[in-house]
Amino acid sequence: MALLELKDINVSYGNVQALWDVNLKIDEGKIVALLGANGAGKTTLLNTITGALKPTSGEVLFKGERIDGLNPNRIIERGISYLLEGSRLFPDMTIQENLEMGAYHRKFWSGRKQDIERMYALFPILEERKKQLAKTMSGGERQMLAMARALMSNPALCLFDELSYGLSPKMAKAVFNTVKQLHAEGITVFLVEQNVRQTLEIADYAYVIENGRIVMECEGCTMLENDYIRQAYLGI
Amino acid sequence: MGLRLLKDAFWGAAPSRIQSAIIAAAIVVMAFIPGVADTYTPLFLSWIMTYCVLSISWSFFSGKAGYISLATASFYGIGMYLQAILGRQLPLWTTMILAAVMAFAVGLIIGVVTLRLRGIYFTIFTFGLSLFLNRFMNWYEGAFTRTKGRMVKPYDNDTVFYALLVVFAITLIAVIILNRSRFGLSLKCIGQNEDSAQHLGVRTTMTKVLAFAITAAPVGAVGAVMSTKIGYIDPNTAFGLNTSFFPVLMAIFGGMSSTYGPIIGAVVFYALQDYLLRVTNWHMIIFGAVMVVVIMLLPNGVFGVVDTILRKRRSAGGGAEASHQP
Repeated sequence: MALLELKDINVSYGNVQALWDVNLKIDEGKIVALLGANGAGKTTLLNTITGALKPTSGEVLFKGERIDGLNPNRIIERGISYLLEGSRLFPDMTIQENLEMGAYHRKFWSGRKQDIERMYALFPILEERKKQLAKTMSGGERQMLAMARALMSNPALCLFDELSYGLSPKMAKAVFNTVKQLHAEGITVFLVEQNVRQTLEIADYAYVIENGRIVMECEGCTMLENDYIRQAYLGI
Repeated sequence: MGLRLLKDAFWGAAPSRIQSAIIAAAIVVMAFIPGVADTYTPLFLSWIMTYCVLSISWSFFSGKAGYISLATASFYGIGMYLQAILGRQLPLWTTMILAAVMAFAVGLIIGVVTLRLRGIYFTIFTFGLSLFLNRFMNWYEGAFTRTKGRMVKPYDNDTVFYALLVVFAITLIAVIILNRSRFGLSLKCIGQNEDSAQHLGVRTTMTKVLAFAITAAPVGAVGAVMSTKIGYIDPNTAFGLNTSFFPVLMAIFGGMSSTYGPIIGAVVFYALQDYLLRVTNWHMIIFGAVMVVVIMLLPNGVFGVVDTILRKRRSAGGGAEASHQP
C-alpha cells in the first residue's frame, strides 16, 4: 500500500481550475519527484496535501486514511512535514530556536531536546553554529537548517518544495546528497523541483506535471533517456 | 571578561541563576527604598516603574509579533476610569485586579476583531481606538455627568510605590518566563514569518490575540494605580496619545532584543524628561532630537549595540580557532 495516494484530485482557485484529475502515489521509503515548469501546479499540489487548500473533488489518502479536509495542524500531527519554497526560516532567531519550532506541535514539543540532538548528528554544521542567528548562514546552510527543521517532527513523509532554489550548483549538489542520505535512513521524500537532471538522478520514481495535469510518470532513470524529457526539460 | 559575565547573566536561553538572583535582589532592595529615601523618591520611582511596565508590555507583544500597537493609552485610560469610578468603595488591590481584568477583556475583543489584519491596518485601528475612547468619554461626561473630569481618591506615595512594585515585578518575571516558553517563541516566529509559523502548526490568530490581551492587563493595572497620584483625571489625561507613543520610543531606544532594553529605555527617558521639564520649556524638542539621533546611530537600541559587540567578539574568537585547523 502506498504511503500517500492522491485519487482524481481537482483543485480550483475560484473559477480557475489549477489541477485536473491528478493521480499520484508515493511508496514508503522512496524518493518520489514531481517535475514541472513555473505555474504548472506543483505548489498547488503540495498545498492540497498539507491541507492549506481543499480539493473540489477527489481523495487524499495517507496511510490508507483520508486526510483531505483536515486542518494543516492535524496533518502535521499525522506525520507529514512540509518545507516551503525558499526555506522560510526565522532569520532573527538562533539555529537552535529555529529547530525547536520544527517541534512546535504539542505532540512533538516534549521530545524536542532528543530531536535536536538527532538533527545535530545528521547535520554537524548546525551544532557548530547553534547559537548564531539563522540570517548569518549561507544559502546552502539555510537549506540544511530548513530540512532539519522539517525533520524535527519525525515525519513519515517529507515534502520538499524547490530545495535547490537559488543555490549555486555546488550547494545544490550538497543538498541533493543530503536528500540521498535521508533516503538511506528510511525517510520517504517527495521532491518538487525545477532542477530536472539532478532530481532524476536521485529519484526512484518521477511524475511530470504540465498545466495542472500529470502528463508522464516512470522510474527516475528511464525518464532521463526519454526524448520528450530531454527536449523539453534538459534542452538536448 | 566583564562583558562576558554580563552576557552570560542577561542573554541567551533560559534565565540563568545569576540573572534570577540579580532580579530578586533588585526587587528586594527596591522594597526598602521608601523607608530610607525622602518622600519624593518613591514617586519618582513609581513613574519609572509605570513606564517600565508600559514598555515591557508593549515590546512583548509588538516587538515580537511585529504588530505595532498604539492601544496602550486605551488600556491605561480604562484602568484610570475604573479607579475613578470604583476607587471610593473598593480597596486599591481590588480595583487593580479589576482594571487588569477589564483591560484584558477589552484587549481580547479588540484582538479578535483586528488581529486577522496584517501590517499597518492594525496600527491604524489601535491608534483610532485611543482617539475614539477619548472622544467617547468627552461626550459621555458632557451628556450625562455634566462634568469634564473626575476626582480620584488619593493614596500616599509609599502605597502607590508598593502597588507598582508588585505589578512591575509580576510583569517582569512573567515576561522572562514567557520569553523562553513555547508561547513566546511562537510569537517571535509570527513576527518573522507568519506563513512559515502557520505551516509549522502555530495557531497564529489565537497566539496573537492572547498575547495582545495578556499584555493589556498590567497596563490597565498601572493606569488604576497612577490615577490616584494624579488625583483628577479627564479624557485627555486618561487617553492621552503620549501614553501610546512613549512606550514605543522607550522600547526602540533601549532595544527590543532583550527583556531589559525596554527597562533601560524607560529609565533613561523618564529621567531625561523629568530633568528637562525642570530646566526648560523645550523638552519635547530636545526629546525629538535625541530620538532621531538614537534611531539613526543605534537602530537596534542601546542593548542592540552591546549585542553586536558581543557577537563580533564571539565570531572573531571563532575565526581564530578555525584558522588553527589545517
